[in-house]
Amino acid sequence: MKKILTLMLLIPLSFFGQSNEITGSITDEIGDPIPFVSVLVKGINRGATSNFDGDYKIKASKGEVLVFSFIGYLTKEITLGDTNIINITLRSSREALDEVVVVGYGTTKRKDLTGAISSVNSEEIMEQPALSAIEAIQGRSAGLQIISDGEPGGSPVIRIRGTGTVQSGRDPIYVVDGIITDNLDNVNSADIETIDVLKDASSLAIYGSRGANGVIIVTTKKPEIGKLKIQFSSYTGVTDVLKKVDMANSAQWQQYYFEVFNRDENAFNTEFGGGVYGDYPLNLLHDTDWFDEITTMGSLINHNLSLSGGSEKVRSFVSANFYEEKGILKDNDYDRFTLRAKTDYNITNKLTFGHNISVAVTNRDRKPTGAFQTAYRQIPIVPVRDPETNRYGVSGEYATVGNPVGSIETTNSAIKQFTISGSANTKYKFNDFISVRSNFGIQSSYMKSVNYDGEIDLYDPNYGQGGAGDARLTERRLDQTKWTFDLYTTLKKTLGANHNFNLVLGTTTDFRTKSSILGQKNHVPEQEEYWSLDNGESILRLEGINSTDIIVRSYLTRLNYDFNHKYLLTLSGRRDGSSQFSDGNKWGNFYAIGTGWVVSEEKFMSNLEFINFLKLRGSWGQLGNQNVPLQILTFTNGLNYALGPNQDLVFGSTLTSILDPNLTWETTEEYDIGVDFELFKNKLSGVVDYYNKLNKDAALATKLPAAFGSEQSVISNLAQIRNEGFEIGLNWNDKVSKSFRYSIGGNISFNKNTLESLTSDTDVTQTGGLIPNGGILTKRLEIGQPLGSWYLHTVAGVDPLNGLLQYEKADGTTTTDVNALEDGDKKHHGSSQPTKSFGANIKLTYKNFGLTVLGYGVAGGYIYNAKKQQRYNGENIELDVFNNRWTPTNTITAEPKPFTSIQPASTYYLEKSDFLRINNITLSYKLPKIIESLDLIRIYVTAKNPFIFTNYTGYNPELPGINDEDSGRLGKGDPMGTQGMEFQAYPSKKSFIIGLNVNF
Amino acid sequence: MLIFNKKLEIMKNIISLILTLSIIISCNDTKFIDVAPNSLTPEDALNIEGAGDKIVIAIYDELQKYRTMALPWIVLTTVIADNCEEGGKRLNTDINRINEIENISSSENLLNALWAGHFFGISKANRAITLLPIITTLEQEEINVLIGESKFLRALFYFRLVNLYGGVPLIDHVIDPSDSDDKLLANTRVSKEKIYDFIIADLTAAATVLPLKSERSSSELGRATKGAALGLLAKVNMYLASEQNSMTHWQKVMNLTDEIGTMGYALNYDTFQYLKGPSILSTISWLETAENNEESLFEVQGRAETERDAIKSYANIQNSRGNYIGEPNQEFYDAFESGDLRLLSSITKKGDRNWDGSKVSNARKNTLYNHKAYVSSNKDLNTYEVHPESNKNVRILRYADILLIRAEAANELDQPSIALDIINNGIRDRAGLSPLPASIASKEEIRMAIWKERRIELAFEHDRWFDIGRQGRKGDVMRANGKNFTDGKHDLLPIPLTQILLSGNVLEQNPGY
Repeated sequence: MKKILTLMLLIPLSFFGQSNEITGSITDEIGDPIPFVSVLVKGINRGATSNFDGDYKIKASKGEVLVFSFIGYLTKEITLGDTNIINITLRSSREALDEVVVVGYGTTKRKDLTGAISSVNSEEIMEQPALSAIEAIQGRSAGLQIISDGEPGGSPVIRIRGTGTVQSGRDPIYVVDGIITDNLDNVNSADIETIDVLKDASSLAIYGSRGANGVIIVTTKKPEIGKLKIQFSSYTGVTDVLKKVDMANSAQWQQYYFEVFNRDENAFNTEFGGGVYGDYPLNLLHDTDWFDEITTMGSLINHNLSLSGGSEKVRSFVSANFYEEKGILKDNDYDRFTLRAKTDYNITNKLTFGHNISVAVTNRDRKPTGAFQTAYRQIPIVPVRDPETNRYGVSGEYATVGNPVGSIETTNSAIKQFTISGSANTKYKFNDFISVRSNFGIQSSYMKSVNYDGEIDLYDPNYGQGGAGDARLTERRLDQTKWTFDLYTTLKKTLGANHNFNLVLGTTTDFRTKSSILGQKNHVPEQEEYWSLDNGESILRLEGINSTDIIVRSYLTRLNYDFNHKYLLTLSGRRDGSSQFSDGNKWGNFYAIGTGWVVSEEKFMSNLEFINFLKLRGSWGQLGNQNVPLQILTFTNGLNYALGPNQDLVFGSTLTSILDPNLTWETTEEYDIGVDFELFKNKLSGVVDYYNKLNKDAALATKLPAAFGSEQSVISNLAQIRNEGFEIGLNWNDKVSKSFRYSIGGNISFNKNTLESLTSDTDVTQTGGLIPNGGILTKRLEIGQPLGSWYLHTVAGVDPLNGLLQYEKADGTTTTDVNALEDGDKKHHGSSQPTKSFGANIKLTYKNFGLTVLGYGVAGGYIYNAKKQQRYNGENIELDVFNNRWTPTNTITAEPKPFTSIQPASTYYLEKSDFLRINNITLSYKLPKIIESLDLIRIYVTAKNPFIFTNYTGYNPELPGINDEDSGRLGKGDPMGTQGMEFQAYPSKKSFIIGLNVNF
Repeated sequence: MLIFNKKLEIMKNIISLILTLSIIISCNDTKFIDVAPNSLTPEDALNIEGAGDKIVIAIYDELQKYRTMALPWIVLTTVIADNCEEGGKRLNTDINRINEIENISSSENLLNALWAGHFFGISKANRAITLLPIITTLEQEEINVLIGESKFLRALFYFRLVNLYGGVPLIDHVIDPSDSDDKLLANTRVSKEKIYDFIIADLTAAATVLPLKSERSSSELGRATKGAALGLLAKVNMYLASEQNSMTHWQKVMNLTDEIGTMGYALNYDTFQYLKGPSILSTISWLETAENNEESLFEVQGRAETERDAIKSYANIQNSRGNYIGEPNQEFYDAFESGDLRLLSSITKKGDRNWDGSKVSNARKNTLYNHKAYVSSNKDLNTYEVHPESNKNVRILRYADILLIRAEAANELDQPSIALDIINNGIRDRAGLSPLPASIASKEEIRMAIWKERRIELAFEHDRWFDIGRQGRKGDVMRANGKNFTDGKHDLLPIPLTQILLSGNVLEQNPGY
């Protein structure tokens, strides 16, 4: 009754109420003004924006609701009363406990979270110019190890809480607006609002058999209510080599080479009669710096334009982005064009609908990165081109190495990719208790790659004219389609005053298919316009693959319960059925429990004023990895032979493998204990986590005796792999004065990776880290050791007497005779995987100036300098090797006497991978407001990767490994593959960039 | 009123809940996730036209594998024997320790690769022999020939295995690893005699169904023929004859070589013609152009594109342009009589010219080089960094070998005139040598002369290591060559440690290792 009276009183007031001009200023928690805040009258399409001093003006009437919103801050709503001056303080959403965290099939507030989830926001992503948002957030959060790939267009390798498996998929999954994708290469970083990284089992269990490697949820920017906002940003810059390896020059190489034979120049002349055809080593006509010959200054360009705006009923966001990168390897380029259109509709109060379409077109011109290794090995006395014949110089006499310039100039690889993704989502809210959501997302991509290996005219003085091989064209096309359909219902209820329940029930279906075709011909003309399979002569290869469709059907549920936001409980479960496994192994269940206790809500904490927030968390759960190598018994093709007078190719195929019928997904169990805190008036915030996860049945390839006839290894669930570690993240946010603010953040992660057990009745020794040219193995899987553990002979220095490397024998003695070495003399020497990674960021703002510094580093891992070992003959040596080599007068040194043969795998080639790199220094300036319609003009300069501190002697301490597409060996990110080995790594790069942001 | 509203509200909630849940569970998910594989299942693959041929071609493919025919085979038959030293560039750290037989350790990768390659070949043959009879798209006649080829190849793999390792597991069917009998079978070595019986049975069966070389169509050139099967059978019988000193086997050799003699094979006299003038370069036996000529009983057909790591590296591992592994030693060089045309066709010296006129570099490590493996094609230079390639065939069995086998049998069967005729008017005549002196007349002397001709004629053709073995003088020859050879141990290679471990220590090691 009372309510009705009030209502009756209010109606006439508002009816007659005039629109008043409401004014005020908007500040943040520290009291600094926030410009460009959108101020809207709720329900009416009328809005304003705060100016540079944070002041706003808007016409509104009493009783209407003003909505204040701005990216990076929590939206605030104020119902107008009598006063016409309303000053607002917005809370930053960045560290705010009220920040909404995406948890998979729902959202929650950070303070109610029981799991370990790291979030990175748009501002942080945009601070580092990079193709992929993942590369941009390197060092931003604990527990994420990101190994960047320097090649333009190369995807970084990301590991969440260590590497949990050997043979199976090791990458996390990415969920971009509900669509599961393999990477973020085709997502415009500027479109991203937040990246939430789900790390522990409690958060991940709802992803079941998809969850074991972690899940990265990407939410793109939401269309905002209000007047049309136009944002334009652009940057351009140059890229150069950050770290070069100095090589010996011609005279030094000659000196070294002569010393191998223990002869001086005259003796060499006499012995070989001076008649070595071409006389490269003797006359020193040339002094080629091969690295300089293949590299160039690279460049970066990025333009981004976005439009956003709309009413309560319909809102749209549209963006276009162009990114171009020219690599430091000559003619090695990448460009990408993306478009996104996203619209949200409020059809009724209860029904909302949204769609989101994005397109990415990429062009990647690759050059053989093997040129980096060839350039390292090729000797300086050889000219790039022989002056007389103008052919590419080589000298097989001294170094069995090709011509890197020749290989760059004649080898071409163009990869074009077109990706289109679309999704539609619907939400129907029956009432406050129950709501239903659906999301259907589909992604289709089409890839065409053309490889043209042209004829390469080499000139070798020893053989006179060089040869011209057949030009060979390889064309691949790949079609991929995947779709995801989610349907889930959320039930929310508060029982009594303080018992809050939130239940999610749902299902999701995931489908993926791909097909590819490959053709190869020779004698295709060298003009680029003829690079197609219509030209050329005989077909060398013609292969088509229709991969078997994969369907995963899942049921999921999660119950969140909290008592007065003080005691928290999360129970989640998922049941997955995957088409990939044999009958009886298709279905699996995954469960998790998470608990939290917000200690700071307790009465006894109230007198500890410096503690603003303190939460203890604990969780346990099971996760699966269904991405084990697919098991279908098929004929092995390509076992071809040549018959007939012209030796025509005849095709052969047969069964060469045996399968384990019991193979199923890997199951990982993880527990996590964590603390979240905010201290000293929220100035210091932090997260500390301990985790321990065990992959209980990691798939591992085992060999059968050869007499069984299975050429391929048999994959079975045999191993147990544990990752255990700590993560600490701290952030200090304060101001010196009103115009001078700063924040300092840092994080560090410790991870211990161990192979705990192997269950098999046969020998399952797994070796890896293959150096293909010598058949040398450098890694071995061993119980008690981490994955990717180096297994090498131990070098105990150089024998001062004879200058040879001294190898340790198992019996404790040393020997300089490599023939006396046995496999059993080898030992484990750490792993390619670092045990620690850390990131730090400093941010200063003074008036209109801003300065950001980001740092990142890893420690505890080792690199095998494989390129250095690739010396079969007189290949070039590093300058340091030359300068420090053993000579009869320089006997106490770490570098042996000159040699020209390949050495056994040993710690001589092993180096620490520790490094600390300044990833970014950005200085920015916001121009004072000159034109009314321009909201912001910001200019900045960025130095990307300007400094690196490392003892590693090679080009790049970040070595994700190499994928060899021809052989199908996927070494990238494989701890037992080429990860951590420098063969032909793209060197570390530094960039200097200038940029501009303009907002209308 | 209020209560009613609340009830209505609850009803609404329940209805909406049921609605959504029913959508969620409406699909029949067990069927939904049953996806038929897109790649051919073995059953379906077999019914496709040409499937039978493909599974046999896959066995031939094993002959051009690196593991079966390239470095492991070269090192474990040529490098360790008396004619050659390690030589060459270090291609591989493995070779550091396989320069001599005395240095072989059972953990060598090369040893394991060679073992595995041969068993994979045998397994592919077993697969074909099992599957071929059930293929419906083939005529019985075609099936018989394909089975014949499979058996020939299986016999060839076993003949090489038994001479390398002694008795090995005898596998005549496709192994099921979950069957404990099969498991035991695949891990248990049988006696050398049983392996020989098996080889003879295979070759005999193959010879009865395989067509003659002349009956093969042009497109089948390179496939196993009756001549190849009988030729290998003759060689197998010679091995048994000399090991067991069995006249029955020698007689078999005579009969078999009689039969082969009627098949149109002949010594290719063009072989050494190039030494007499550069205009007929194309007829040299070791050239690509002289492949599959009238002297050839069986060759591994080389074509660069067929395999990445295959036969193409066979030549380059050994020749002066590549890695020149397996350096002929001076003692072997000196074993050639003066004027023997085979010397220059087999061995080049530092500073010499190769047959194509190119110079063998002075700056290289070897003094002597294997010239039979020399490849002139300029293509090699182009890609020699990454994949050295050569289209050159590897000669497995040629008529000169058959003639030498026959000569030896004739001598053992006290028919020296047949033996001397072959040696003098065939082998030596072609090599530009005069007949053996009349002083060589006794059975023993003729035997030694034949053995020497084998050594020279079949240089680098992987015959020597086995030959001195079956002649029962491996230890003597090796020790005379300065090698530290222990009788009873070094006659056979060690069984690869990897295989012993994989078998769970069931597989037995050879004595002394």
